[in-house]
Amino acid sequence: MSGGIARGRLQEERKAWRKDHPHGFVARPVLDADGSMNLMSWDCSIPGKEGTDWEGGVFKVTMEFSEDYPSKPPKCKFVPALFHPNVYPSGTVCLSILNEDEDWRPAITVKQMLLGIQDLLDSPNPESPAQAQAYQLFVTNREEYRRRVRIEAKRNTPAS
Amino acid sequence: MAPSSPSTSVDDARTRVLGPTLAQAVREAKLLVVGAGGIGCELLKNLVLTGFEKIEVIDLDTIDVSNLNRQFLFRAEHVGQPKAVVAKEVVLRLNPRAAKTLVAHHANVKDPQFNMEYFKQVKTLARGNGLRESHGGRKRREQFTLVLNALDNIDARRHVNRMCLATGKAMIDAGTMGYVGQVNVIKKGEAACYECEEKPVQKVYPICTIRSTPDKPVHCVVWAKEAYKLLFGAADASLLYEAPDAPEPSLYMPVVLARPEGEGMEAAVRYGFRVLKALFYDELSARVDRGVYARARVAPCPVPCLGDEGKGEDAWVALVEDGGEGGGEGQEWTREVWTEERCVLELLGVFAALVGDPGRRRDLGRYDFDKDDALAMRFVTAATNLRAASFGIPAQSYHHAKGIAGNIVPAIATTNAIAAGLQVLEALKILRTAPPSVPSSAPPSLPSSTIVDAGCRVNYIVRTYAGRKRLLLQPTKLHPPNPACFVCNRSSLDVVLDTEASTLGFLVEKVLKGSLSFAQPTITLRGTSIIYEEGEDADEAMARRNLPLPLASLPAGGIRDQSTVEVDDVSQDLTLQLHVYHKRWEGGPEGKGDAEAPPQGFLLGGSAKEALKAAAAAAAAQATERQRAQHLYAAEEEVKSTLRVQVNRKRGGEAREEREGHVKRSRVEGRGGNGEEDGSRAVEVIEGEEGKGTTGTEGEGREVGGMGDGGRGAFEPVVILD
Repeated sequence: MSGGIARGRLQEERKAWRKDHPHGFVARPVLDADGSMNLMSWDCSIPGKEGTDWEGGVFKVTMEFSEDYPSKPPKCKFVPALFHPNVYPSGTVCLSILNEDEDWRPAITVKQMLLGIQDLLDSPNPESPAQAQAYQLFVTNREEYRRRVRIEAKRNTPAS
Repeated sequence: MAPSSPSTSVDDARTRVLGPTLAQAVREAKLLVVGAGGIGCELLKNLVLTGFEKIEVIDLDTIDVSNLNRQFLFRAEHVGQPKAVVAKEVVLRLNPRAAKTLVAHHANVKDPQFNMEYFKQVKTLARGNGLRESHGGRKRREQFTLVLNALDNIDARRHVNRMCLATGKAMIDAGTMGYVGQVNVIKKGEAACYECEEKPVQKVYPICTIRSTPDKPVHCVVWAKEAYKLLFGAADASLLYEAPDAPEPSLYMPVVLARPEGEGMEAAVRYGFRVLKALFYDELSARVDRGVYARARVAPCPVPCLGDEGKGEDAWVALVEDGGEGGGEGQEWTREVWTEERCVLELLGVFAALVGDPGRRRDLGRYDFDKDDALAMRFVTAATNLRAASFGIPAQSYHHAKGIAGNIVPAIATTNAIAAGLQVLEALKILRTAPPSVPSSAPPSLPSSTIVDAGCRVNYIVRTYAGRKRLLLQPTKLHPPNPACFVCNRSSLDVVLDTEASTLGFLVEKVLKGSLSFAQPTITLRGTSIIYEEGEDADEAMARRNLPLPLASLPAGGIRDQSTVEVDDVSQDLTLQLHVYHKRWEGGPEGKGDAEAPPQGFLLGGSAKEALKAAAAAAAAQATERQRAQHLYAAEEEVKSTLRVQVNRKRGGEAREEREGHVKRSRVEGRGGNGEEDGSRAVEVIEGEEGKGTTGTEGEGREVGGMGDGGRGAFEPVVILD
């Protein structure tokens, strides 16, 4: 069979997600032009946690898996990029569990990754800044930072 | 032993009968009962009287008048109410103590709420171990100890079977059909599951058999129902309907369409006569003349009394107007076989009623055949018999025709009662060997191997004294799981179909859901390309895009000859490797078709294997033939080459060319076929009523009760599981 370990594992991830996933989250392989699912590339949505400044927002994240998955983590990216100290201007998420040199383990599931990113939203890590603007505000002017976060959440609130 | 006091309480009596350990196990066991109908009513009553208190019952039906003669928990005042709810209320009177622990669900067991979590009855809340520990004020529900099936259809049984296999629950299944039945105990890995043996599928008749070449009464009944649809129902959905631009149009279509505009008896009867003449005389005569039946054993004979030698339109109209329009009641009318003339009068009476009557006329085009609609049954009986007469097939009484048309097998209360009783006995066997529950609150959980050790049996209820011991109840050792079972042993399955003509929609609806009872299939090709999903969080855009595509044109290389398709069902925790083989059956609907073409458009499992084997054998035979031809050729060549020395060389060369031509010809195989027709359009009818079912009701009619009056009560099609 073509595909190998990465695709087999991703097929299992898809099954597991459909059986059980946290409320408000979306994670789905993108549809290829030929009409089959491309398991190597997922579109996800993460809701901001209730009771935080991120509440109400739903943030789009893409996950790009490589053939080395699950030895290596997928590349997770906010689309569009997000105002957040640990999100690079390109949108790429900087999180220890998503870094193969830090806390990534092959056993980490798609669900755990998305929950981890959700956690990161309201608990940024000032030790590893990824964009200047959000980082600066976060360490110098917390009030203004929070105001900007609420704007970011509103901007990403799905029309209902 | 507890000190015995001369108490008359039911509890004490139970304890004395069951023994204190089993009596306690019974009180604590938690049961799921699926179905509260014929068997379910008996079962619930038995369970409660045995001392079971924790029971959940699921049934999607409401109570119908016709249920009252055998579903004894229900009374006339309950008609229209949910079966599960009423059954619960009534059995509670037998043991009010179960009030809090008896739960009724008026729902379909295939609903998502009864998912694997429900079968396991473990709510995923916080982490914890004890089953009844509370988590933030919410309690975990108790595990089911056993699942008992009291269902009347194969599809739901298969579903429950899969849920039980997926969750490791023991299941006690019961089914009856008339005087026979069986009770079977199933547990993953220990005994054959419900799907270890292939079940007989619903009989499907090829269209050409119905339209052109009937040879059994049931074919005529199916045709008559289609004629009813053509004349009074959704005409264009009838098998007999022909579009105005159809090639080789039938004579009856224009006649059928020329329905009188206004109401009025006479116009309706005249119209009726012309339709009957077209259907039963002109069309058949024309077909005979065209040579359609030139190769038939016996050519059909058009109904003479409708033809030119009959009395003619005016005379029939006069007869009807004189009150001869048929209709009737009572034993004689329903049990006798009507004469041809009688049939014509009955049919004209139906035309008068449906086309002539201003009230009924308004619903023309919307009539749907219902065996309990007397007018519809009159039409179908009479039309069946006129058709049967033309083709030399035995005529049927109204009563028999109804049995065939409604696919009726009588449900017999006694058989249901026996089956339900046996289910309780099997349940007790299992509980007897279950370990005593540790804290009195936890329900007994079953040890890993139970049902074989418990001495469970497959119990057959048979109709005649059979076997060495001449018994009517035959307990048999549990069958071992079938290693080739695609459900409990994850074995692969073969399917043969036309991958170029059949769409993904056909594969999903007819094969996966219709024949294999998948609930929410996910389809993966080449191990990693998902091309179809449905259910929870499914990609619907993908489904919409791919469903109409022919299998061979699907993404990721398509499904072609010798493709392996992975089918997953998240809701049933089932994975199947489906091996697909391409075959194109030639043929069309009018009897010119390939005799081997399956009417449903595909072959599955055993029949697929057989077809593949036959194809392989044919190919091998062809290869041998080819080889033989080549040998022959080589031998001849050898002879020739020796002869060539002496004989004229030119001639030897010619002979060689000729040989080669011959060998090539023997290799040519016909493929082709006319594209569109994949044979999937066909009529579905359950067989089994013919002969067996109806003679059964005939012989012992009185036991079933109320059959003669045509009450639905006596009948309930119950499919048996073996």
